[in-house]
Amino acid sequence: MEVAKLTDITRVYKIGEVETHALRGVDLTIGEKEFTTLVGPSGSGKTTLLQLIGCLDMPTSGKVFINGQEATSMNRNQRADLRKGTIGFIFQFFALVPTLTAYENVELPLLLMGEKNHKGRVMELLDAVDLSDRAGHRPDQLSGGQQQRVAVARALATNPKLILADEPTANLDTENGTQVMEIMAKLNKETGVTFVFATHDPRVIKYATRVVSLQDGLIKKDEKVNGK
Amino acid sequence: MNYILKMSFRNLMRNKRRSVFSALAIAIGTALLLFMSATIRGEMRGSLDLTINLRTGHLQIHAEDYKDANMSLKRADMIEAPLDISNQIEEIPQVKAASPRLNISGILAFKNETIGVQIIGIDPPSAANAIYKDGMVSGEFLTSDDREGVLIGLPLAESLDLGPGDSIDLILNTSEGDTDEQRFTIRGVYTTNTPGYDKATIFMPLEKAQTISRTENHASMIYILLYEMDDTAAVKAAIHAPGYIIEDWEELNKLIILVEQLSNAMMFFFNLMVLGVTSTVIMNTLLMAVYERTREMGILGALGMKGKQIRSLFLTEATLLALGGVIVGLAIGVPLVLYYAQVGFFFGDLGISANSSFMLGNSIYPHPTVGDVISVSLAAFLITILSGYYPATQASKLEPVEALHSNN
Repeated sequence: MEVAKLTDITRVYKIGEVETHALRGVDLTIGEKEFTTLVGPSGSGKTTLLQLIGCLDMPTSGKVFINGQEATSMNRNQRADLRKGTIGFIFQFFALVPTLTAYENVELPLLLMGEKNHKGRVMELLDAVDLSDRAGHRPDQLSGGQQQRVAVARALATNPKLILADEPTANLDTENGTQVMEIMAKLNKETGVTFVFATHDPRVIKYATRVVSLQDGLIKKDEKVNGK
Repeated sequence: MNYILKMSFRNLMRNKRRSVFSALAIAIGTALLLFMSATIRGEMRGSLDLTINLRTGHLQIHAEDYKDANMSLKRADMIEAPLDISNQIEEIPQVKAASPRLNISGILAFKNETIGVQIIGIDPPSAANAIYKDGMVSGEFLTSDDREGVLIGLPLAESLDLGPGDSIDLILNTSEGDTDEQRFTIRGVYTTNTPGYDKATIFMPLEKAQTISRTENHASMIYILLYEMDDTAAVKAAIHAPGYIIEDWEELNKLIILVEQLSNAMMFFFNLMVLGVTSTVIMNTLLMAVYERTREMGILGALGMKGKQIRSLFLTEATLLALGGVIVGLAIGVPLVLYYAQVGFFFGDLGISANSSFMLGNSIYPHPTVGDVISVSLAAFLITILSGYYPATQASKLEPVEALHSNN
């Protein structure tokens, strides 16, 4: 069963009179339980592709299907609803809401879903990332690694089918980067949630079960590998 | 909705100083508007009350051709047997007092000083004179059979260094077109705290005023005071005074009513200016917040927060600012207005003449009303929320992907 399917995707950014072709006709299918990395040099289109899979952006042409639903025919609110229940995000910068505690950050997607009895679920997730003792701490009271682990817990809160992570270890030291990747790999194995990473960090790539290489807006190589 | 409220509150607490100053702008605006509206209302109400009490009454009966400003003493311009009419009117239950008054223009002479004055003949026992009796500073009030006594106002007494027992000469117009002069003794000194009136108005018993002005058994008007202003139309309809004109306080105080309408219009524009400045502060604060939190809006959008929820977040911040600002504004404004409503603002003599149709006391007492408190609070509250609408809409329109790439 495919979680995401992109067909003949192009994405052109126009700044003034200048057009930049970030993607030039990409076909990609992401299956369940995959631990996929999109790799390539800067400007190859990996972040753009990740944003299109996450329905944060719309392609210039082509179609995006998420969990069988065509996102490219949806309006902004429908795409927000689709993201809310289906896709979790982890960003390169520690993208927590600074005014909320770790607990409240993880709780937020559940509140947006309208779920009320979620205390157990939130604590379970914080426990999974080994931060249940930091539940009441705000982001500025947590280290970078701890913040990224909270972001992982938050991404998992609504039991999404797909988690998209853009350079999740870029701002972490080796120890924290490894710890975060270990947690995500473990969650992938235990819960079956699909992960897609945009990265050029070897620490991430070594965990991948599939590596998709991009160059100049095109997929150059797509190979199955034996992740750690 | 609770999480929106929680996030909004914490967002405001992020930059406490900015939030406090923004709320303070609303608070100062609210307090200022409350104070101004109560002061304007107090000034207008005070002026109308004074003019009714000192000059016009709630109702007035006079001859068709009588003009208050001329103080005509022609028989044709006067009311004959005025006490008969006033006694009849006093039997109407809503009437507090009905009393004849004879207005004569004259000159006060003392040593080398001569001062133009208006002399009013009053029926001393009448309740219509309560304002003068209550304002006695020294000496005694007049009695009906006093043939030589007068009352003078405090500013006049002070300027000429006069007091009870002192003598003054009065030169008065008569109904025959000539003048008569007589020496009078000051029985007492009064004040109505209306300098323009007090420094140029002298009272004497009606009978004496009629004798000296040769207007026997005539008066310029019947001055009528009611217990309740709202009964004016009913009492006016109940008065039977054939051959004379009955005018109510609205007809007699057209200028004050016009000035009040003008003040209200000016107050409206003043409100607009104050609220305009306040709303600019709020809009700027929230636009800054949107700019500073652009990336955060992208994160919230990525998590599935819809545009309308992001708009609610900023509108709730505006609402909390408005609530805090209005509460603090009322906490500052209400006690301030209540304090000044008791002690008033002292202005002194504004140079308004004694027979002006617009009496002003030496102080203005703000007159706050519950209606003012509600309308000012609501206006400040709504304007603040409306000011938040533009920044909130800007935030709600941010595309998550663009917002996530923002440097803020």
